[in-house]
Amino acid sequence: MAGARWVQREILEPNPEADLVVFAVSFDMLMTDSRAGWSAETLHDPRVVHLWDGERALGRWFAEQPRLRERGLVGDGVMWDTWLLFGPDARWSADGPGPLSGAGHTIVRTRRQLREEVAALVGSAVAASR
Amino acid sequence: MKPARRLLATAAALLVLVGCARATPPDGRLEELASVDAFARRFDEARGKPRLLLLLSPT
Repeated sequence: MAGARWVQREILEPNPEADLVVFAVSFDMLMTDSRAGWSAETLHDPRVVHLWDGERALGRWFAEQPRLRERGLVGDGVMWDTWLLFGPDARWSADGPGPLSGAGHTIVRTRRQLREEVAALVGSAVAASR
Repeated sequence: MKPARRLLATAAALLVLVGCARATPPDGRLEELASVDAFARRFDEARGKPRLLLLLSPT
């Protein structure tokens, strides 16, 4: 969840005009995880769509994609603590969403790359922030 | 209240209720992800904007 807090603090809050959509898909991965433990306060921005994936379906699906297998796959065949960035023209086809503009795991470890990739897509506002 | 006005008021109230039901997902702001296909539709609905997908655990 540190990654989500970083996105809120360093991507969304300093750039209220950045016109992007954030899909925050949460699911249980750790012993301490539960839906009851989910908090709307972590990512509190109208550009965020919060989704609960009780079956880890999306994390499993992404983990099975050959072109993404090397990016952010963590144990148990589930992709998590990972960001995937897509441009405005990306669409979901039989091969999944694409083209992919960037990806990283963990979110905190690859935060500089995330900031640069988002800045390239939405303009200089993000690049100007810390 | 005249029947026509009552009907109009009822219709307006129903519209408000339906609007609220659509705007407010169950469980506050947290929506259930029904399937990968359902997410694919949401993804494509946002086409025209950059999209950042975060795969997270809640704690």
